[in-house]
Formats: sequence, structure tokens, C-alpha cells
Amino acid sequence: MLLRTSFVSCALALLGMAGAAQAADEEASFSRRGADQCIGCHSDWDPPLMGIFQTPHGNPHDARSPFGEQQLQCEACHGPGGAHTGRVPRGEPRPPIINFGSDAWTPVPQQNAMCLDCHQGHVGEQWAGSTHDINTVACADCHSLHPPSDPMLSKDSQPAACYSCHANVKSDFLKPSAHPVRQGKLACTDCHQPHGSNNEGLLVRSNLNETCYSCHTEKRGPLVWEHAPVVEDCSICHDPHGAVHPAMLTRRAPLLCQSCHTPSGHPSVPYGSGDLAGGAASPFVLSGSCLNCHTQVHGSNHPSGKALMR
Amino acid sequence: MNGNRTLKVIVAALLGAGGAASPAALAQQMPDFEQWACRFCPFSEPGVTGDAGASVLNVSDESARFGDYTGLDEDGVYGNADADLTYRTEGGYAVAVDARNLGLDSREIELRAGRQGHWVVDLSWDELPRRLDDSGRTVYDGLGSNRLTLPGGWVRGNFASDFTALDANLRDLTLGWDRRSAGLGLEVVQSERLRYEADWTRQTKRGRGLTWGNFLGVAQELARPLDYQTDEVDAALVYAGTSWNVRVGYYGSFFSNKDTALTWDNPFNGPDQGRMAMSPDNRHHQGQLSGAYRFATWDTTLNASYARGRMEQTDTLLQYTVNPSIMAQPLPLDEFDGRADTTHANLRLTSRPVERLLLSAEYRYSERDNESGQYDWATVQADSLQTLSFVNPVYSFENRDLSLTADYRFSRMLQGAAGWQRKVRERDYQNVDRNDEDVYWGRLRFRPMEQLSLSFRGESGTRDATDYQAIPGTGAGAEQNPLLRKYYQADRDRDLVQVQADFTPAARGSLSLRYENARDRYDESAVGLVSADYDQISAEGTVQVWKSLVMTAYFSRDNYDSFAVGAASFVTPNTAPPNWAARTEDRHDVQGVALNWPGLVDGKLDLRADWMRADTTGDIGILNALAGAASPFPTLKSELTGTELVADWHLNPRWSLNLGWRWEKYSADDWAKDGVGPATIGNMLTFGTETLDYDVNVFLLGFRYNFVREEAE
Repeated sequence: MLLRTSFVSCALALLGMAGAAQAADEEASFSRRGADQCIGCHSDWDPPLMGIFQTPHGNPHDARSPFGEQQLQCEACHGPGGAHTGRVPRGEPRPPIINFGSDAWTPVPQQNAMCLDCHQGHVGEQWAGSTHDINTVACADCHSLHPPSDPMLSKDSQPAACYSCHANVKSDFLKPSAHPVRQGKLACTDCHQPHGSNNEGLLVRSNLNETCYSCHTEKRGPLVWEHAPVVEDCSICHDPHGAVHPAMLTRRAPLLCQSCHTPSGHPSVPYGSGDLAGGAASPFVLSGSCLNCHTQVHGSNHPSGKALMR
Repeated sequence: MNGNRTLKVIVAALLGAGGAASPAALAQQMPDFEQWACRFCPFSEPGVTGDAGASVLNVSDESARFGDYTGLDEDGVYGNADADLTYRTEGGYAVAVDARNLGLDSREIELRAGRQGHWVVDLSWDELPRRLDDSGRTVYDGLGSNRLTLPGGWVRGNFASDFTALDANLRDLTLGWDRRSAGLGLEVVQSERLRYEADWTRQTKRGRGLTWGNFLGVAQELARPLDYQTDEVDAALVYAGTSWNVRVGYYGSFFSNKDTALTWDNPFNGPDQGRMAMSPDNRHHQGQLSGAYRFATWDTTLNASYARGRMEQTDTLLQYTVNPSIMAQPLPLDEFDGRADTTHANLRLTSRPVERLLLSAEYRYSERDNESGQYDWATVQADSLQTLSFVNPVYSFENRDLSLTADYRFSRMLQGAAGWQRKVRERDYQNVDRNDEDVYWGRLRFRPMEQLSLSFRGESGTRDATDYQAIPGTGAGAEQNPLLRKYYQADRDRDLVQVQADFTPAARGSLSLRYENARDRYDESAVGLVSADYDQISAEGTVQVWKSLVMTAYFSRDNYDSFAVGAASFVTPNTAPPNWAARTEDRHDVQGVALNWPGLVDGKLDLRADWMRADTTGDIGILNALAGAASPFPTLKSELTGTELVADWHLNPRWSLNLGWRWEKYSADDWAKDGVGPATIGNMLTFGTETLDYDVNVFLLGFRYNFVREEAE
């Protein structure tokens, strides 16, 4: 039922564009035989379309599916196909149906409206006005409905879809210190909610730190002695997509720490190549640098942890 | 009822098109479902579909870094298996299993059962192997426990060179852990409108991590025990009406750590033992309410969300010190009353007053209100020295964002967007109470021809800070230089430019070029980070070389440059003028080629080949006005090269043979590790770890069975 409502809503939008009642009447008519008629021409289409019958959209036992009982089959998404499947006068092009993707003739908002009419309560709750909506991303830019499995739903293949727009992130995951997206153990959607969320970066939890805490729960606290930038925003020191420096730090210690710490004595002093193993072998530079002593850089629950040393 | 609603919608559609029709005529618009038999639809039939495979891998060399996340850290032979299977019965019931890497420490398996559109139960298991390091050596006993002891006969000293028993007691050490997650999920679709979701996940993390212990003036690398358990619960009720939807949810996180402390022997002269706190148990509860309402006018949507949570931590506190020579002071309380209340709210209005124009306004609110107690703590520094008492600051934050966006599609060829954002950040107990940032941005998409798409985006932001103030109660000797401005609080100008071109000259190929440049300027900062620049250029091209042979090549370069100014002084407090500076230049180059050639030999052979190279360099130069220009640090380097060849030979529609070869080589230069043995640093005892260079070949031989219908054969 929902699907029927969906297609008609989209048809309504398209009819509005056409502006002619007669054309609208023609576009509003369905094909005579439904999917059987579509399959007659498109069964050997490239890319293959018939894989959809192995997906949730092609499940006849789900009343919500386009192929559920008395649903509109192919025309649930592609709109009424009466004109498209009907007789076409010689020399005239076959009237198109609703098609999907950024290169499709159907405007992206109308494409997405078609999807959202069924998926509003599932993924569309925060879609309107979200980053991807504002940037006119089509659902079909990421999702493929006709293959037996949607690559977007696999940890292995999902990043490739995201990289097509976020090319800079692809190289981030090849940096020496990075989350294991390259190894297929983490997907973009483990941290991001591409259908919209109520925070910057389309994160899955309420903000950046709460997203990080999902896996790094031990850092949640609250602790007796907190390190202020840690509880404010993890990205003040870390680049979560990957970094040149260990622990995904944006810069190398001690310089990263010295950007904010200048008390007299060792925190304020410049260190150089003379402090390396062949020279003074300074603990302020080698091994963990500042962390050699201030090891509890994420905060301490020790009564004597004020300087984050315990 | 359903039919009536359908009819109403159809009426609306036709009226919208300018016509009126009788109900009888309207009813004829619906298809004749008797003719819509879907006789040619190849619905999934009862039985098993999908594929399963088994393979044998031979790993040429042992490497912790290569095995990090993959589980292939040991050399030798691994058996492996994976499956993607679905078993369907009559009536729409199905059980599906998705399993990967079953023979490796990175195994994962998901089992789903249910009836689509009615209910689904989901069981999952996921392992993530971290292989941090296998190059270290240590003298400590009790590795993996919360008590690290020195071997009998250990000879202490003032310096690492005094450790005469060091060499005789060093033993190999591995650092790493296994993260394992078990999940159970349930989704029940009660009706077309109403559904329930519940997910529970238990995650454990067990192994050994790296930490450092210290006493005044000396330090040592230590293995900290990891025995964490986290339970997460997500539950929600979702109702989707015709023009509105609402979600009511709960999120709970419960973390426990079996080790509350790590105690270790001091290898140097001084206190015998030290003890540091490990991460305490914590809990987080959050209630969530969100929803959307879609107005009929102007395709307008109002989204709103509200989440209120509480984070708690009430672990029993350790004593100030384990040093018996320091008189124990009473703790102000036995269990810390850590509590932070969080509030997150969001309101967004989106509208299309005309079809080509999208307007959006959004307000976001986020607060962390730290309600933890504040006490006088008689801290003992590094189990060595009784210091003054200090009061713990309780950091709270409040963020308020307001943004306005307009997007207009002039034509299929041209689309423009612009926006403004105001960000307010408020803090307490910090140098800057409040930041106000205004960000303006614009974007233009130009499609001069069907094959070419150009996109330009520019952004400019100015962040202002309130007066920079000293933090009270810092303690003698710890005051910051008054000229310092911490970069995440300081006045800042940020400019960003992005340009992208996508060219698709024909269906046989495409080319995408992208450039981004971001500049941060902290002109009001006399000391601290004063500039940070980032630029990236990337290109990716795909071409159908011949028949089904497709080649993809890509390249990218990232540059990160920053400049920081310091003020060195040994006089307390530090009021020195700026007297040194550091320039950091990081580079990251990536290039690769991928070939995909399916359907060879009458469709029996699929070939795939990948080559990839990722290089990084990091240069740090110190401009030292105190002692003249110091020599720069040696360049930090890493080089990663990978090649992979995969061949799948389809013996018949059911069976295929899989052959693969993967080669990966990694090498690095890192001055923080290079040449640093256990006793190289005079006042430190380290593991002497090295950069984890590797050169590994992996050979794969396997087969795959495809569950296909008989007619497909």
C-alpha cells in the first residue's frame, strides 16, 4: 500500500512538471501486464536487473515490498509505465519512465522522494536538509537495488561508494596510522549516518566524542582529572580517518603538546635532532615523548593524577 | 481502507494535473492485478541460495604489522572459509548466514532469521585482532597482569647504564589485544506504521597495551593489562505516519575493567613501586526522541531530535601513593561521584518554495554538564613527592550552532548553493570561556556538457575568542606563558577551496580530478600554533581497455604544513618572549592501478590485479633563536607497496577454483624508535621496539560452491 502511495506521489510531482493534463493522463496509466511486460524487454539488460528478486525489494511475502501482493512491481519505483510500454508512433522516442542516479533525467529530489515515501520511517527521518540532501545526492548514487546484494551494505565494498565523492578519505585510510577500513574490518557507516543525523559529520551518535566512545568506552569517564581538549573534542589531537603520525595524531609529539603547554622548564624548550638516539637521547623526544611521564593523557582517575602521571 | 486511500491519492494526482474524473474512471487507473501475474518473475524459491568457499593460505613471513587487523601475523599455513548463504522456506521465512575469515583471528559471522516485513532476529560475532608490536624486549615479569615485577637479582641504578642485570633478563615481548563482539538484535514490524528495534552488543578487549610508568626524573615502558567489557543496548520504537514519523529510543553503555590499577617495580633508584590508575568502570544512559513532520505546503519538512543522557563513574579510588615513606593523607571520599549530564537537541526546517529552490535552517544544541564533585586532593607526584593540594576542575561544554542554507538549480547545467553558519562554544575552567565563529560558504556546480561536471566550493570562517585568561589553581611552576593561545580556543581565520571536475567522455571511461586547499591562520597567537595548511590533489581515471577489461588508475597527494612558535624559559613563571619556532611538513602520496578482467575463456575465468603504493614523509625543522638554527630532524618516512593477483576459474555453474597472490612490503624510518635500545635513554628503560618493517607474500588456493538453481546450470 505504502508503495502505491509512493509512486502516485512521485507521479504527482512529475505531472506537475509536465503541466499538461493530457500528458498527465497518459503518464498516470499503468502497463497492461506489470513486471511481465518489463521483463519481456529488460531481462537481459546490462547491467542485469533480475537480481532484484533475491533482494528484499523482490520479496513477494512482504506486503511492503514492490512485489508484495497487489503492489505495483517495477512501476512502484519507476512510475506508471503505460506510455513507456505502449505503442509508440513511428519516429518518436519511447516515453521514458522514472529512472535513478545523478545522470538520470528524473530530478534527484523526485527520485529520492520516491524512495523516501516507503523508507521515511526507516532511513529518512533525518534526511531532509541533511548534508547529502543539500548536496543533491541521489539514493541511487550509493545504493544499487537490482544486484542480488547491494554493495553499500557490505563492509568490503561500501567504502568505494563513499570514495567516489570523498576521494581525500580514500588516501587517509592508507596512512601509516588509520582505522581498519582498508582491511575491511570497519565500514564508513560504523561511524557515519549518511541518511542524516543531528550533528556535524553525520555521525551515528550524538556528537564526535560519543561516537568514539562506542569503541573506546574506557575514555568516557567522567574522571577525577580530565584533560580538557580530550573531553571537548577528540579531533583536536586525532584525525580519525588516518594520520601520518602514530595513534592518528595530527602532529608529532612533543610539538603537538607544546602547542598548548608552555610552563617554564622542559615543556617550553625546543628539541632538535641533537636529542635523538645518536646524541643526547632525550626522553622528551624519544619513545613516548611527553607521554613517557604524562602517560594518562586521556585523563586520570588517580587521586594523584593531576599532572596525568598516575 | 487501503483502497480508499489509494483512490484519494489518485484523485489528488489527477486534480493536480488539472483534470477531474468520476470515481469509476479513477478506479480504472489502477492496474488490473489479474493481468499482473508476474509469471516471469524469478522469485527466490524455497531452498538454499548463495555461495560458500574454503581456502588455504600460506603466509611467507611473520609480521605483527601485516597481521594487525588481519590476523595473518604468523608465517605458515592458514585454513580459511567464508559463506554468504540464505535458506528460504515457504511463506517468506528465511535464515541467512554471512561469514568471513572463519579460519583467521579476524573472523566474523552474522546469522539472521525471520520473515521479512514481520520480524528478524540477528546474531553476530566479530573479532578484531590488534597486533601492536612484536619487536620489544622487557625484563618485567607478570606481563598481562596488573602487577609487574622485576626479576630476582635485578640491580638498580641512577641510570639505565647502571642496569648490569639488564641483558641477562631481557625477554621477547608482544603487545596487542583481541577485540571480540557478540551481538543480538531483534526487529519486529507490528504494522505498516509501527516497528520495534532492539540491539544488544557485548564487546570484550583482552591483551596487553603500551603505557609508561615514571618516578621523578625516570621512566619506563610498561605493558598494561587490558581486560575490558562493554555492553551496549540500543532500543527504539518507530512510528511512521503518512506525513510524520517519530522515534523513541534508549541507548545504554556499560563499561567494566577488571584492572583498576597497574603496580610496577621501579628499576631505578628511588621509590620501590609505583601505581597508576587504569580506566574505571563507567555507565551511560541516554533517552532519545526524534521525529519529522512533512507539510503539504512547499514540500516542507520539520525535523527535530532531543536526547538527554547521563554518564556516571563511581569507581573506588586508589590511595594517593604506594610509597610507604610518604605519610598517607586521607582521601576526601572513597568513591568518586563522577557524573556528567548530556543534552543534545536539533531542529531543522527544510522547504522548497519553488521546485528549483531548497531552503534549510538548522539549530543544534549540545551540552556536557559535568556535575562531578570537586575536592581538595593532597596529590603525591609520581609516588615520590608530596605536593600542594589541588581542586579538580570539572569541565563543562555548551555548543550552539545555527545554520542557513539555500540551494538553487538554475538549470540542468547550473546549480548554486550558499550558506552561513554561526558556531558558539562555551567552556568553563579554561583559558577561553567562549568562541564565536561565523562561517560563510558557497558552491557552484556547472555542467557545460553532458560529459563534464565541474564543482567549486569556497568557505571562509572567522572565529573570535573572548579574553584569554589564566586558569586559577594551576599550581606554582605550571603557569602557561601569557602569550600562549591554545589553537582550539584561539582566534582563527579559516579559508577553504575545493574544486572537482568529473569527465565522462564515453561509457568506456571516466576521469575525476579534485583539489582542496584549507588554510588556518592564528594571527593573534604570539606563542602556540600560528598556521596550519592542508592541500590535496587527486585524480582517478577508469577506462574500458578492451572488451570486459577495465583499468582504474588513481593518484593523490596530501600536504600538511604547520608553523608553531615557542617561548622557552627556565624562570618561573615563564614570561619569555617568543624565541623559537617549529615548521612541520607532512606529505602523503598514494598511487595505484587496478585491472578487472572478468569473463575470459568463454566466461570461465575472472582475473583481477591491483597495485598500490602509499608513501609518507614528515619533516620537522626547528628555528631556534636561542642557539642558532638547529639541524632539522631526520625525515620521518614510511613506504607501503602492495600487489594482488586473483584468478577465479569457474569449473561449472556450481564450482569455481580460486587462486591468489598478495605481496605487501612496508618500511619506515622513525627517529623516535630508530637506534633506541632498552637502555639508550639514560633515565628510561624501554622495550627497544623498532619500526615494524615487513615483506610478506600470501598465496591462496581455494574453491567456492555456488548454490544455483538447476535450470541455471
